[in-house]
Formats: sequence, structure tokens, C-alpha cells
Amino acid sequence: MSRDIWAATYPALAHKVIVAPLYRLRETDMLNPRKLAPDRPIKIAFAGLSSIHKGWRDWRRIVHALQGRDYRFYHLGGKGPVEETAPAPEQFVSVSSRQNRDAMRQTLVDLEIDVVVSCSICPETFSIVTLEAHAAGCWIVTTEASGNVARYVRKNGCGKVFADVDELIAYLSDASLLATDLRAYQATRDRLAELVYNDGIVSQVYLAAETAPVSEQS
Amino acid sequence: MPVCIAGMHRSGTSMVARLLDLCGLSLGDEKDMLDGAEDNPEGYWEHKRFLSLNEQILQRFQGGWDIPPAFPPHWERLPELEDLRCEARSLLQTFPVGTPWGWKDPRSSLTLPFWQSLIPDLKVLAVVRNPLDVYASLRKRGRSTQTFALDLWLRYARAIEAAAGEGAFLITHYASFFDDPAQEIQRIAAFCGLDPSAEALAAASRAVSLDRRSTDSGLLDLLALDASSEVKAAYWRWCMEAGPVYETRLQQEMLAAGPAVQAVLQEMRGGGSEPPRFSARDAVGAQALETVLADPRRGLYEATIARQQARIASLLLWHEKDQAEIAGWKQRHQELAAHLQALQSGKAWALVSRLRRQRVRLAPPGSLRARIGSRLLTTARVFRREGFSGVARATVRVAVRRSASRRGKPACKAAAPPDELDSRPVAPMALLDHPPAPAGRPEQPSPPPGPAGDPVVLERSGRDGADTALRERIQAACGARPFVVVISHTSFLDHVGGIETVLRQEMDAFRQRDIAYLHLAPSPAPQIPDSPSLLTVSLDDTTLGEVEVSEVAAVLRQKGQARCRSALVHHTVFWPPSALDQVLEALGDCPRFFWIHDYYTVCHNFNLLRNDSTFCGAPDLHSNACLICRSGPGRKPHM
Repeated sequence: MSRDIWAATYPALAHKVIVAPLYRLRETDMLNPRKLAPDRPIKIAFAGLSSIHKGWRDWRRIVHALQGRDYRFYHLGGKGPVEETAPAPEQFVSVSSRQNRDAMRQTLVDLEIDVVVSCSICPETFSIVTLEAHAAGCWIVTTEASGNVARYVRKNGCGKVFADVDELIAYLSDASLLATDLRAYQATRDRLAELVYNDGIVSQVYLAAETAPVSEQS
Repeated sequence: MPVCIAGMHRSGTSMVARLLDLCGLSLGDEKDMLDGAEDNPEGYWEHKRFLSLNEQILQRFQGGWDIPPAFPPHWERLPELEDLRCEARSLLQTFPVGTPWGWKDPRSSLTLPFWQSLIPDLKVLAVVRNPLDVYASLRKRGRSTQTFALDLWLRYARAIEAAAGEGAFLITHYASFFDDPAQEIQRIAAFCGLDPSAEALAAASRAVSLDRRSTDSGLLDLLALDASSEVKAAYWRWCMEAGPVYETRLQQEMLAAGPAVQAVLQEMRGGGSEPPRFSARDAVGAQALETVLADPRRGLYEATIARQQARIASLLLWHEKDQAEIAGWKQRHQELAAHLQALQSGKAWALVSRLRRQRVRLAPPGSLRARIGSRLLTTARVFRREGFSGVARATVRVAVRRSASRRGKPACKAAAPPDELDSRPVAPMALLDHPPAPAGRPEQPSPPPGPAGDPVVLERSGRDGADTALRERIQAACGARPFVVVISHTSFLDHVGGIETVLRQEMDAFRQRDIAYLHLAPSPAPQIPDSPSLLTVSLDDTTLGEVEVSEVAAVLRQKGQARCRSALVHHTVFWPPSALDQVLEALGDCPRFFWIHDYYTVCHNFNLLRNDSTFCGAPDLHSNACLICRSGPGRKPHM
């Protein structure tokens, strides 16, 4: 989708666009610690910067709509410029990759986050937090508007894609359905993964180039 | 006489077309009709050729169904539309003469003058639906903000109103078909020149899709909304003309609402709305007004209004007081500025300034005194050149850049929390005029960038190029081994974010191949007008310092063309175009890669959110869509 948008603006360069995944997931020896017990509330998180284009407003809609249910809400990442006029309804956990590149993935594992909401309102070209959530064994829920996030989730079967936030809220409102999906998904994720930079970009694109292509990542 | 079924999208025009079809109105061959879709499973009842013509007309004027174009006066008779007129005439000839026929396409609301110029006796059947329900339906269909939906509704309403005076015109309300379908269908059928049989009428009544009516907002729901009074006034006018079935509903709603009706009527009169252009029925309003006046709660509402008016008066007083205070502070500021100027023109000030500069120059590079001192010197220099306003501008530029980083602009897609950003070790202004090391003083190596909190000492080549040591280091680095030149918007060693993370790992991949990673980013320091652009240069994981772009280009021109393997452009935000050109030209013909991490190359609003709310999909550069976006005016110059 991102490629199409760009190519529509620069049709003369469209044939030079290369879509290259920035990372791949490599399975580790670490066992998935999550065991969704009946008495344990489901943990739902927004990962990343609280900015409007990352879907922060929709996230807040979701949290408010699901108040009163047996869920725990978290915000992992950084605080953006969105003004807070009331106490945050979710628990904020500051996560920065300044000192530890793997901080987000580790925090998602440590807190045993079950569901990551990724509802960007503009099509993302790439989303590292989505990959980190996948690597950490989280179930990712997103909307069609998120572009390559939705595409990634659909391709890897690591979550669900909804037409819009209303549908997403309707899905999350049914705690038993969500728990069923989570158990089924967690059963397939015995071990956690880690992100590995796609070295092929350097070896097969940069250094193998005879000409100067235009590239896009996904 | 043919009938055009018009109205805003998602207003029930398809349903009305279907009902009229059941009553005997010819809408064209089935093969010519648009197929149904998820949001209209029972079909759109739109003739493909009418649809195509309407879309072509809108496109000729750089518009679309969601961007009603600004038509010039008498546009429908422009010679440029002759081809479309010919096509339209041939289309009209396919319909039988003597039997009632028509077409439905909401776009016709905008293009009515065109059709009226071809069909002088055209009847217009306008379907109206509460704008709130239209918004809800649009939103369900895709993404639409309330403001966008209401604004679009109003444009359609105005277009129909403007064309309505030209011929036979009838308004029907979507809600009426659910209240009394038989009566409303009979009314619109009669308008279309149809006389349906009892069976046809019953079939049409049964066909009203009760299950698809997901929202049913009342007039007062709209009026209570914090929305444009023009929308409210236009909807009010339409409701007053929507026929007896809707009149009954309106009457019930008003009576049930009680005193609120008074506010409604006041709003209608005070909101700048013109009196209903059609033959308005005042009976409902008058009766409702009488009911309101007799309501015992009227006093309570009047008291509330009086309280609010008193509050507004009080706030206005405060506002005046604040204005007076601001004027006082401005006066004080001018006095202090004059006093400071007098001080600075004295000999004592000149002596102290010179001593201060010497102390800063003698301080070890990177020490607290050097950093604070150079910052003060920079501020003083800017002040001498540009006065307070210059200092303020420089400070604002730093603040804006930091703020942009925190807002999640490309500067820092996943920036650290504010407390981390604020603790950045080097103040940007301190970098600007860091003095060169005195002659004879041994060059102190820059410490490698440590973890957050460790000071990273940046060096800068002097304005006169005195710091040749730094330039030589870059030169030596470029000459020693193959390298790649990487261009992005921030110093990736000092910032955190998605792109910065990618760059760190890309750097590791090149280092494993013994290829140096020469990274260039615009300096975060405020740029002095008319001064050369500064770049922050880093080699592998070491920040070398700040260098003027011309010096970087000179080094690359000398060494780069032989050893540079590639130029990787990751992001160009904050890059002056001339600086980017200089660097890329210096690299000659080496392969270049341009990354599309976001849509900055499509619009300077890099996430393509129209007015920071709705994804715009990157319309054509000349599209009217950009006219309703805050980022629109800057898009053409940016591209």
C-alpha cells in the first residue's frame, strides 16, 4: 500500500522501488512465559509513542470502552505531545531503546503482555514495535488503516485485522472470545523470538547494486 | 418528465430509487446498473453511464464526490464540456418517450445545472437524512471525521438548493419511509408522475429496509451538537419541507423536547440562517413556540442563560485586564532593552566580554566552562546581530526541533520520554561556536559516545575553517578504507527512534564487512541566517563533530569518488536542499539509495493526515483536497 501511494506520486520511478523487509524473526531458546490462567486478567498494551498518527486517540477510545472488564491496560514506550486532561486510564511504563535495543521486546515479555493494539491511522511503511510484539509472543490487533502492519499481521497469523476501531472494540468486548483466541495462539508459541536485521539489504541490495534503485521497506 | 433522484451520499437515495422502480419508474436496463456492494447489498440503483458522466464532470473541475469542486459561473454551458454534453444527449435518447423515467446518483446533486441545461423540465427528488446519521454511515464505510461529513452534507445541500429554483422540486426525508412507508411512497410516486397499483405500493412498502436503518438521530440531536450553525439551519429548512409524514414526526419531537425548542428556534434565527427558501410551513414552529412559552420550566432556563451571560461579561472584563497587563510588560521590556543597550555600549562591558571570551577559549574542550561559556557567547553574538528577537527565534528553533522530535515526527519516531531528551549531554547552542583549540595545544581526542548521560564532546570546524584537525580526521577516515555515506535527519548515535534503530544495525552490518559508515545529519544547533549549513558528522560509532557542508563536500569530492561504495539517503527532513545537493554531487556516480520510511517525499506532512485527523491518501498535487488541509499550501513548494 505504501509503495502504491509513493508510486502514484512518482510514476516515473515506480519501477525502481524495491520492497525489503528490515528485520526477520529468529526463534530463541527462551520459553514463552505466558500461561493465561482463568483468574489472571488479560493484559492489553499500546506500544510506542503516544502520538495521534500512531492511533493514540483510538487507543483511548478502546480503553474507555472496555472499562469495567477484567483487563489490565498498559502503555509501553514514550509520552508524545498529546495533552492529558485526566488521569491516564492505563499504566505507563517508560521504555527506551537508547541503552538497550531489545528493551521493548523484553518489557513485553517481562510484563507478560497478551495483546498489543497497533492502530495507526495512516498506513505504516514499517513498524518495529509490531515486529517486537510478534517476537515477544503477543497477539496483535490492528485495523486496515495501519497499512503494512495489517499486512504483516495477516501474513504471519499473529493477530487479527479489523475494518475499523469499532469492530476492534466489539472483538475485545467479548473477553471469552479473546481468551479463546489467545490460548489458541499461545499454544503455537512455545518459544519466543528475537529481531535480526536483514543483512541481505547490505549484501544483496547496497553492495550488489549496479544502478541506483529506489527502495521501500515493509 | 424525467426525475433525478439526488441527495447526499448515504442518505437513502438507493432505497428511494428501488422503491420508485417497484412503483414503475424506469431507471434503465439492468445490465447498465451498478452492482451492489457490502455497504449497499441491495444495489446502488445507479446507472453506470450517468455515474461516469457525473464523475467526468467533477474531475474536469478538479473535484470528486467527496471534494465538491468550485464551479465557475455558468459552468454548465462551457464549450469545454461539449463532448460530455454529446455523450449525455445520446444517453438520454436511450430512455423511452412518454413513460416516467429517471436516474439516481448522489453526484447529480452537484452537477444538476448540467442536466437541467439538457433537460429543461427535469424534476428533482431530493432525499434528506439527518447529517448525524450520514456521518455515522460514512464513518462505517471508511474513515470520516464529523467535521468532514457535516461539511460535505452542507455542500450537497447548498448545491441542490441552488439548482432547485429552476424546476419541479420535492424533498423526502429518509426517516419518513420508516414511519409511514405507504403514504411517503405515494407522495414521491405522484411527484414522479406514477400511479402505482395497490400491489406495487404494498411491495414497495415491504421493501423498505428496516434492518438497515442503524441510526436514527433526531433534529434536536443535531441542534444540540457543537457543530456549524449553517448545517443546522440548512437541515432545519429541509425538514420543514419534507412532507406531512416527516412533519408529524417533527411535531412529536418538538413537543417531547419541551423548552429545548425555544433554544432551537433562537438558534435558527440567530444562526444567520435565512428564512426557508421553500414554501415554509410555520405551523409546527408556531405551535411549538406556544408550548414552550407555557412551560413552567421556562424561568429556570432563562435564569441559566442570564447566569451564562453574566459569566461571559466577567470573562470579557478579565480579558481587557490581561490586555492592559500585557501592554505594561511590553513597555517594561522596551525600557530594559534600552537600559541593556546603554550598558553594552560602555567600555566596562567590552572589557568584561573580552575576558569572558578568553576564559572560554582557555578552558579544556568539553569542560563545563567551555560548554556553558560558548553557549553564552553564542547567545551574545546572536543578540548583537539580531537583538532580542534573534535570540528568541534561535531559542524557538531549538524548542521546535525538540518538540518535533517528541511529537513523533521523523526526528524521533519513538522518542524517549521527555526527561531523557532533556538530559541530552550537549546543549545544541553550545556546539555552534565552540572555539578552536589554541595553537600549540595538543589536540584532545574526542571520547567515544558512551551510554546516555556520558558527555559526548562534539567539535566544530571554525567559521574560518581553523579547525583543520577535524577536517583531516574525516579526510583520513575516507581515505583509509571503503565507506558508505549515510544521510538522515538526526544523529542516530544520540537519538532513539525507529529509523535511528535501523541505522545502528545497518552500521553494524557494514562494519562487519570493514566498510566505514560515514553519517551526516543536519546540526541540531539553530542556524544563523545566511550562514553556511552545519552537518553533524559521525564515523561508525563515533561522533566526530560539526562541519560546514561545503567542507564535507570538499573532502568527499577529493576522496569519495574513489572509495565511496554507496550513498544511502534515509531521510531528508531538516536538510536544506542546497546542502543535500552539495553532498550528493560531491559523491559522483556511486550508487544511491533513497529510503521511503514515511511519506515525507509525498508531502511535508509526512504521515499524510489531513489536518492531523484523517489519512488523505496523497491526492494529486493540484487536487482541491489540498485546499482544505493545513499542510496543503506548503505541499507544492515542498515537492
